[in-house]
Amino acid sequence: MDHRIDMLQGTLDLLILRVVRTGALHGWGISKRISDLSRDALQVNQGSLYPALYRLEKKGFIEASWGISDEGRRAKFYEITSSGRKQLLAVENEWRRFSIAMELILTSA
Amino acid sequence: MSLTHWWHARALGQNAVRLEREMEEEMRFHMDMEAAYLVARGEAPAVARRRARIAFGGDERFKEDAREGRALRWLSDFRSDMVFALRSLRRSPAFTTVAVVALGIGIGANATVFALVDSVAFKQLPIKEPEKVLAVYATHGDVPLQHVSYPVFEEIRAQVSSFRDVAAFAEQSVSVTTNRVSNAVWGVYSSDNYFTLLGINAARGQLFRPADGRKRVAVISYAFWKRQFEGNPEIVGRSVTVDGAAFTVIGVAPKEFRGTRLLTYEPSIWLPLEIDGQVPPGVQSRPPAVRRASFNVLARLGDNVPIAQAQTEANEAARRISQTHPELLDDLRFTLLSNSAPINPWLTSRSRIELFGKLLVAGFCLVLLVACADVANLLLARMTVRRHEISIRLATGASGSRLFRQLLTESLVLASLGALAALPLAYIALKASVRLLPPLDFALPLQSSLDGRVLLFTLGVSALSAVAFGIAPLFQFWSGRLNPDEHSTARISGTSGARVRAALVVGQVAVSVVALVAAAFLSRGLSAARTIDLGFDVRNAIVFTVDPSLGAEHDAARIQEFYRLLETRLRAIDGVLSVTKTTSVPLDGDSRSIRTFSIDAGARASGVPADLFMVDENYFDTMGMSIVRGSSFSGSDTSDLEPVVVNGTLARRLWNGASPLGRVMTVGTRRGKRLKVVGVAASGMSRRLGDDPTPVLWRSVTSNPTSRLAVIVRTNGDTVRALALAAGAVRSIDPNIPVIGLRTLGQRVELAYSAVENGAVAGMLFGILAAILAAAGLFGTLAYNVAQRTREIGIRRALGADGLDIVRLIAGTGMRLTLFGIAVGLAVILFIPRTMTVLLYGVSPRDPFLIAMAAGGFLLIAAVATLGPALKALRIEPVEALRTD
Repeated sequence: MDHRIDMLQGTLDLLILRVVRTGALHGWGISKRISDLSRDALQVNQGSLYPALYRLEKKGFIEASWGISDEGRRAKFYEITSSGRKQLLAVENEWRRFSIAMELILTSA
Repeated sequence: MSLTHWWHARALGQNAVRLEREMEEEMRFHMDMEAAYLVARGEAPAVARRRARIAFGGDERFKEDAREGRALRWLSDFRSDMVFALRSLRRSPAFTTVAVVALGIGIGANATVFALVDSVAFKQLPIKEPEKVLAVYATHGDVPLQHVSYPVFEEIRAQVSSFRDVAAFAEQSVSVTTNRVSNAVWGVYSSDNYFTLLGINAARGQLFRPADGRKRVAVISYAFWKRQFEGNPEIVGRSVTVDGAAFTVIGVAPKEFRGTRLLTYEPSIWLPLEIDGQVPPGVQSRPPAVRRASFNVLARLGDNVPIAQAQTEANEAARRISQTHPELLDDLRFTLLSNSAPINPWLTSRSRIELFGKLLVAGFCLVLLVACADVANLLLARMTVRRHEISIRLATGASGSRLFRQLLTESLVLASLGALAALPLAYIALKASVRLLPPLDFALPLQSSLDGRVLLFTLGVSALSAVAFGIAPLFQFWSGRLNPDEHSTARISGTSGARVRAALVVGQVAVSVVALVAAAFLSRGLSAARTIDLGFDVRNAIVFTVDPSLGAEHDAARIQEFYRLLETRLRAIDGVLSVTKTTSVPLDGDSRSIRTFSIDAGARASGVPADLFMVDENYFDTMGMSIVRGSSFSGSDTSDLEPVVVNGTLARRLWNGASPLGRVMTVGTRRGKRLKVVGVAASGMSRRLGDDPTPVLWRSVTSNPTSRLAVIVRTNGDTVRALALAAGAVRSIDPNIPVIGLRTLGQRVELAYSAVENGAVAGMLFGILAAILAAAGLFGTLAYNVAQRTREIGIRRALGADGLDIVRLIAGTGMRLTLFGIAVGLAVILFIPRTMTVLLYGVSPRDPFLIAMAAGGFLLIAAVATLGPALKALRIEPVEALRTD
């Protein structure tokens, strides 16, 4: 818990698209998945999560629909769209290049 | 459903509500999941819930962010703008206080004046289709407007078919006796169709209807019902004695109905003009004389009848009436006036009153405008201080229009606070202004409360003022936003703006100095008035007015008998030295009772106006007035030349130093009764305090009997006993006769001082208000000045200027403006043409002492207003100042 990482601008969109790539998730599920996958290093602040979700929905990268959660409660599920998949690919590539560049600088300089 | 939800629902309809609900459900789901997750990891449920909420970062704040992409944004902003504005105003209490006080004064003054003017000039009568109701007056010879006599009213009713209905009424004071206590009230004798013509309904019981006119019935006003009968619900059917005759109360007029005439007394009771087919109604009351022109006539136009047609028809009727009654009414014409609002054409025309009202309201709007200018100055000063904050917010992505709205909201909040401060102020001012009227025998129908119209007006004025004072800072904001260079933001208002502001402050200072001089002048005049010799002794005497003709029986012999009995009973009271009666009491504030006639004493001196008093032979002794030549008239003078007493002033005017004793004169016309001067009394005050003594003529009331008289009782000092027993003496003779205005002579004369006193109080209040506004203007200008010169002051401090230098820099600007303003104000006072100034009881408005007081007083106020900004300048740190740019 003490090793949280501050997220860079724009990374949250990428993370969201990545975790919903494999199937529809509700908001809490998305935030849980992100912290699980990062072994709690990344904690998504809910105050940024939902605005990001609405933003992505507005851009047409994800789609929202009401369904029933595992616990039997009504919840809003988010699903990736085809244009979302394209966007994910593009952003992923960009991130990898950025990450490699960072790595190069941090190890060699 | 919370207020926020309600707001959104109203503004954006069901779709928005659905979105909002979904959002809320989603948030709740998230929090529940988080809490459940934490419980599963071993937290206590309550702790888990709290942590979930903390992790969430606050329900509402989050939703504000989440709304970003939605249309809800705009409205939710309004709420947060309000909160933001209130918080930011709370952070600068000095600014907020000065702004709210200035606005409160400006808006409050407007609300007060509007309330007063509205009831007199703007408001329509609370009747059905008021625009169709006309007042009919006669034009006869040279007299433009006259009441009409009853026969003429009947002719109008019979002959003018344009009028659907015609009613007549006459006003006079009547005596109403309930529970053996008689009160004089203002009464209206009206034709039986009066209320049906106006189209109003009773608050209780019923009003006169054309069929009821033959009975002894009465309608009372709402105020009279509350006052006299304590709002007793069983009022209908009760019997009251009016001028000695019994009447049955059939109803109570509506609360808002206060008669149809302007600036007359407010009627308390309506009585029928015709009883048992008889006009006047019976012997037992005192109806208006039928043949005398004492009737007001109201007419309601028929449907679709233009006024011009009614006027033509009325003119024809007038010609026919002149032909049939040539002895009374030659050259009769009728004037039709709209009576949709209360009128009183004798005072001045309706349109003049309206114009005057509008001018008055506009004048006070000017006061508000000055207050707005003060607040605009303050806001400008704030904007300069906040430009750093604003540029940061612009840089971090707040939209320009968003910030613009925020500033506008702040202006609206300020104006609302000003309006809130204004309402109690207006309430007090209204109550006070009604009390400033001299006490009259009957109430005037003046509005002294804040009704819906006044509140609406206040609301409108506040909103307008928010725009008026909010514009300057908004302009500054726009120009500052367009130019990212902060230096230009600081200089936007430029030198011409600064000059306008300086001129404004100088003007305000000048006005308040003039007002303060006027106030000091009036209060000095008041103390000077107290030293004036009245010419009679006000101490140890009591006075009251009676009218025995209001009693049960009232022929001339009975009236004489009443006064003889009254005198005997009053003299029997312990401590009473003498008793006298007079038609008028000098200086009693009701100068209408003193009549002025022109005196004719032969070819050399004619047409000298003199105040006429009818008094008995004890008058001069009882009043403590000295007869300087000759003697008073005795009670039993039977010569055909009526003996009279004149005062020294009249004697000088008529005979120019020659002995007046034995001279003969006439009153009114040369054919009038011949009067012989038997005595000369010392000149004193008659109508108003401080007049040069006016010519006065005293005739004998014994030779000229009158029913309504003031009785003056001189005591050896025990006025309390005399006051307690006087009313009983009247009642023991006839319980139906009311005792009017029972007071000590000193209290009665006190009214004469009230005009000066009210002037002094009003002048003082205006002076103080003007001074407060001027101080607010000075404060605002200096605060702005300090804000703009922060950098300069910082540099000065860095270069070694000490605190005194800085204070001198800012206070110097303030004092320069103040001194300049005082100079302008004094110049105004000195250059007022001498003919336009008045000497008030020997005090001149150019008295150097007064001027020094006013100027000194304002300097003190200015010093206080300067202190705040000067201290602020003193606190500027060199480093901080440099960093702001």
